[in-house]
Amino acid sequence: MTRATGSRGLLLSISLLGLGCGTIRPVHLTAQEPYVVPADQEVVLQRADRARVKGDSAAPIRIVEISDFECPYCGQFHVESSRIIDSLYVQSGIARYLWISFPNSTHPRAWPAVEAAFCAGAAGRFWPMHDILFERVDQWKKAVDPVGLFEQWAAEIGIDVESYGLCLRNDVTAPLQVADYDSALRSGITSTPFFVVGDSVAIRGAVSMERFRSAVDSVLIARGLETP
Amino acid sequence: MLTEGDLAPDFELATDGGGSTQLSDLLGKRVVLYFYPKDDTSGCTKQACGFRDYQAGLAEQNAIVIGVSPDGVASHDRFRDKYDLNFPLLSDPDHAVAEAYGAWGKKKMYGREYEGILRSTFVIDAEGRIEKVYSKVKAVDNPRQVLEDLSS
Repeated sequence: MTRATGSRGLLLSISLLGLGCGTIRPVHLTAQEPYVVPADQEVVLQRADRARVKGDSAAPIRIVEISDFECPYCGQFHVESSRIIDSLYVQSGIARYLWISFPNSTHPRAWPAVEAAFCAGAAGRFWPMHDILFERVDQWKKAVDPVGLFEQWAAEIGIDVESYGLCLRNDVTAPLQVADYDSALRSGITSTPFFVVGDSVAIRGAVSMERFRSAVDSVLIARGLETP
Repeated sequence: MLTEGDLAPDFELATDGGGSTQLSDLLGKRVVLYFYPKDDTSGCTKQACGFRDYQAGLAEQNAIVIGVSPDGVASHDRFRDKYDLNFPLLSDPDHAVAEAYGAWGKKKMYGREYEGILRSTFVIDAEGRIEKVYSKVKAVDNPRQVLEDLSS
């Protein structure tokens, strides 16, 4: 139903983001110590930026997901396909996976949710919080105090709540959120989820895993790489 | 058939006049998505003209209308021009979207059974969830009924 389409202008903009290089080193010393969000904003931004990338830095292709925590189709894709993509392409070393935030204008609650994910990322726990936000969207999107919920869930995944709360309540990751939004907007993206595979193929919408796999494999084949 | 509260299946289909329409692009608006059998036939024309005439009232309810049939874009263009239709008509040639919505199935005409579009209308809320389903739709009454329900 949905289809993969190429879009050079879009792909160029995304590839110029320059975000998400390197490997996150969580501030976490032993199993008993919590993951701490650093106090310095520059450090928070660097760590949050790197934390939303997963996979081997030497992987031959990159997959970029442009997403919105409050978008039901992003949630659907997360539930149906994210684990399969992880297993097929990320854990196998074929792809690095980068997550970009692009909240729909009708989703004001998505912004604090991104803050929750990025602050968790600064503590080295982006992906566990990312999963929680998609899986518990019905709880936080109507909550009187979503920040309180985010803190509670941060504690569940081992984050130091005090440093996390300071990050959340002071818009520390706002520059990263705005940079993401502007990049997606400049790239001409109008809806989520949206994917860019290997900087050469764009996929619009919550496509089936079959279609997603076909698009990724076509990029691998075009580069003379093996498909999983 | 989908039921109220289900996430409406996303799709991207070619539209009259060129280009395509993707459902997930329309989050934030209510969508009246109606499946009809064939352009420029008696029932379908009445239904399309009804939605055309109630367009303003539906817009007041933050709703936009989208028609879907297996006809091609060129046929949709002619149908739109002939009746001044003021909403998009999408082409679903392999009826995959109709099937995803449960709007494709067995029908009977003159005692003969065949597969085709089951005339049905879905109101999708601003968050992409099915708000109301109209199955076994009467082409003439459906547009007014949808407007009345959305306005109540």
